[in-house]
Amino acid sequence: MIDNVVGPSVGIAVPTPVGFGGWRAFRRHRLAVIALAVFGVIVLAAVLAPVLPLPDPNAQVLTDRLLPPSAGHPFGTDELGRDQLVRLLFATRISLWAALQATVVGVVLGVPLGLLTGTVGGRLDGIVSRAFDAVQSIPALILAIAVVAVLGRQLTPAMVAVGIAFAPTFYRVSRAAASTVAGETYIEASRSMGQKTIRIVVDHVLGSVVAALVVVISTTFAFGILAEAALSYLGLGAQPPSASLGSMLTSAANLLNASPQLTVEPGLVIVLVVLCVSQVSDAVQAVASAGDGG
Amino acid sequence: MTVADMALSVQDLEIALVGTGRPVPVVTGVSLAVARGEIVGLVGESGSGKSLTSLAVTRLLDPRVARVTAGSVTLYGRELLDLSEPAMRTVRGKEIGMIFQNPMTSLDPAFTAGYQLTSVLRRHSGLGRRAARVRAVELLGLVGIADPRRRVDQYPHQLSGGMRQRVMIAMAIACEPKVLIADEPTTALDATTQAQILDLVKTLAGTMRMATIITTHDLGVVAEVCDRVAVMYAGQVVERAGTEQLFYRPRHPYTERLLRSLPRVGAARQLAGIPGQPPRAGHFPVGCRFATRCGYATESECTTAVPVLRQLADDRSARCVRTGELELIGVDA
Amino acid sequence: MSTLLSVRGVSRNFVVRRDMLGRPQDLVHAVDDVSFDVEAGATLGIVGESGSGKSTLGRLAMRLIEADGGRITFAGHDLRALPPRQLRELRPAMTMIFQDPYSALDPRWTVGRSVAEPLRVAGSTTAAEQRAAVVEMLRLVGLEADAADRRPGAFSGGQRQRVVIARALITRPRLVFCDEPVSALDVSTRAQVLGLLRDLQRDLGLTYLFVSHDLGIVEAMSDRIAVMHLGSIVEIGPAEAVSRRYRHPYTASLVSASPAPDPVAQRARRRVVLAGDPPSPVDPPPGCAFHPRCPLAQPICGKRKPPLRIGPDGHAVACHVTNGDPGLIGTALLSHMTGADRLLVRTPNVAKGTAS
Repeated sequence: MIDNVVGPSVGIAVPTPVGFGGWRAFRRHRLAVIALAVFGVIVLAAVLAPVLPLPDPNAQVLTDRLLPPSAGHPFGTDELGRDQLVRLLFATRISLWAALQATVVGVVLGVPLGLLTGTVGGRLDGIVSRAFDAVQSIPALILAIAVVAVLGRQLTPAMVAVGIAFAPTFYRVSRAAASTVAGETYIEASRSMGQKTIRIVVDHVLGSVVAALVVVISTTFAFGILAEAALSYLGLGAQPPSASLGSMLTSAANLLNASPQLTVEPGLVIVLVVLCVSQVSDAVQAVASAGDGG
Repeated sequence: MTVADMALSVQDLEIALVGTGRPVPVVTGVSLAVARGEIVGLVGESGSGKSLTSLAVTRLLDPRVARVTAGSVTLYGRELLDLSEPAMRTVRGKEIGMIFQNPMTSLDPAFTAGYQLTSVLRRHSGLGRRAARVRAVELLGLVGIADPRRRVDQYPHQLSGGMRQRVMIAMAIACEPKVLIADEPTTALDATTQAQILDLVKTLAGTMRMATIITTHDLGVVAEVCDRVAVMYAGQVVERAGTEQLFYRPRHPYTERLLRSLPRVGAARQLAGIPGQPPRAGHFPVGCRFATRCGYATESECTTAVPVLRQLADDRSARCVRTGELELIGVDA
Repeated sequence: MSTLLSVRGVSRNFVVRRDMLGRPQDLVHAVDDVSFDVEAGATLGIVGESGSGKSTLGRLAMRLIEADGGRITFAGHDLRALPPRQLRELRPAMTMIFQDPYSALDPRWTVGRSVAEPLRVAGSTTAAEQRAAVVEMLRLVGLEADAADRRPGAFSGGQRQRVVIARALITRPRLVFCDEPVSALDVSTRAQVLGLLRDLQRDLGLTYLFVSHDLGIVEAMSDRIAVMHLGSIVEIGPAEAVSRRYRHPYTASLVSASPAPDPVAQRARRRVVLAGDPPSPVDPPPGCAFHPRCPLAQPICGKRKPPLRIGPDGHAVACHVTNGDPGLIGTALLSHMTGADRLLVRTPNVAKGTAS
């Protein structure tokens, strides 16, 4: 199709899924591969934290308060003598779980509806889209704070609220990808065979949406981490004695002069996680768009 | 006629695809010449390289995709491939006009027809705003748009496909270019509109004495408007002839097979296609590129070396080793 | 010969504009009161330009789109009256071949999976049976069995179209709606694919509804031809009659506009070059939709839509003027249209700078 390549062309790019070929292309983005590995290690450590032979994160040793990093305490201790490294591990666990909650809620609410309205269109599309428009006008954190104000200081409802606030983005992306695919002739072909709409969505549409969704999932996840940190910083998130990265930041803020590393450590972990997720998502996006057109 | 007398002369043009890795030759040894007032058809199917060739002539190849690696393109003796980009831009508006295939995407949807026309006029003919507008209305009338004074302020989406193509033609001829290049100008149009547009191109080429190249895959278009034809296959010119000669006495097997693939209304015929596909760039065989689909090819003569485009008579050439012996059948007159 | 498909008085409108309250404002009469029959084992060609409604008509006939009115009978079933489940059961019997081979196949599916899809949807075959059917079908359309494991991206346009054909025939349908099946292909590939379609029709006993804008192709493939203009059939009859002894001015202009690959004949023949643009389907002209562009138009043409009048050999024409004058037929009609000095429809006189 050489003649089409250089002439004026109307190209509608359908995102290709990150399938087998996509993984190979992804591997070329070395920074993203490293980021994925680092993220993997962090997740693994956080997941395995309870079963690893580690000291109790809540064990207070008041004689060892605010110690700088040493052999016994690689990251030092906090104001109650608790080992910072172990606390970080458990805090990461909580933060990651929080971000996951928000993401899952966003996906479950936004993606199926987006795929459906993108494929089918019509009046359903009009109604549902307007509903999501309304939700999108509410800022995520405000919604989370409102939920906390009503239900009390629990992390899960707050993150669900963040998820709801993110659902419109999932909806929009799924709907856009689905409606691009819905116009393709092979969809009409499936219909002409008598295939039901749900099956068409699952068989044909879902796969093409995956690439675009990976990007949104990464963004939501990263935001989830930051949202949780913000909520906890405001004292609305994880409650003592359990800590999240955000609440560790809060309590360390007062001790900035005495032990600056107490703020830096959780802060760095947040930055690291968000960076890794962004790198991976950038690479996925690059791989997905490289597969378009041509 | 020397090269300098020819309005447009392409000599031994070579184009390669660039992309990942080494450049892959896709068009080789293409030579073409068009005189004033003459219409030459460049015929080929997809992958033949005809569009690349016509884009190369005006240096509109996307440098990320393809580039000219050898050869020359001269406009009344002046070499175009050496020109700087600003100089070439002037040539493109003033001396060479181009019409593209898809009028839907070739016109900017955000600007009126009049705006697009007057931009061309003001840039290349140096007309002032008012004078350009008057001339724009004139041009729209010239290309057969009814009620040009109203149409000049309309946007492309308000115009039909045929009208949009006419606007494109108006833009192409606005500065009275010496050369007109039409890249598949009627492919996207309905049959009845196609007839109108071809008629228009033919008339304009005649009255404005433009040297015209029309690229097309449709031999019917060629039969309708072209004086001479060059047939391309797999990046090479395989036959060159006057139109009537090409149809009634083809000298290359590909031309013969192509003629036999065409339906003709009112003459119920068995259509015969050509089995297989043309070779793709980078996979050209040693020897004649049409040999595997030819039917007349012999192992010894045709697959060992690339046949040369042999001059058979005035203005007739064919790239076939066996052209002298073969009795090829044309369209029955 | 039995009638496999019978269409009577079928119409379909599309709403192109609604006001603020959602009430329809502008309608496109895509298909307007159309009737035709298709004999089993035969091919009905429908030719028309863009906006003629030919593609919509095919989809209506298969009930892929709902008609607004009329009756469609397929193999004895009243299609419009069928409940959804029974309609779905009929689907394997009427399939479709699409125009664009590059978008007719899911690029992420292997060829085998795409070709087997109709069998999976119909649901009565095992995976092994499906695999065998796929291999057999691929061979029938001239592709290697190993093509089943590759993706469409590995194939050329012509080969992809063969896959599309394989998919359309795997359920051994009775009726196949071919929607411009070769328009997106190269000239030499077209002839191959058309030849394949003809062979398959003969070997599998298929009935074709063949739609195209190219009269030459339609004539090469069809037993009967229907010419459509702006939603209505203006002429219908045996292929030879319509392509050589045509009686409608629009058919004449189509014949005239069809490029003949023959330079001498091309330049010598009388060309009817129509004035003006094709009419807007949203705002069709009153009376006969063709009359504003027709060189033979009479006052009555703008007032009353001409009915389709059937002649002795099953050749029907909808034209006030030619129905009254049996001499206006074929090339005689063409001469009359170009000779009519009222509207010498050449494109602009360049010296004058105005359109005539």
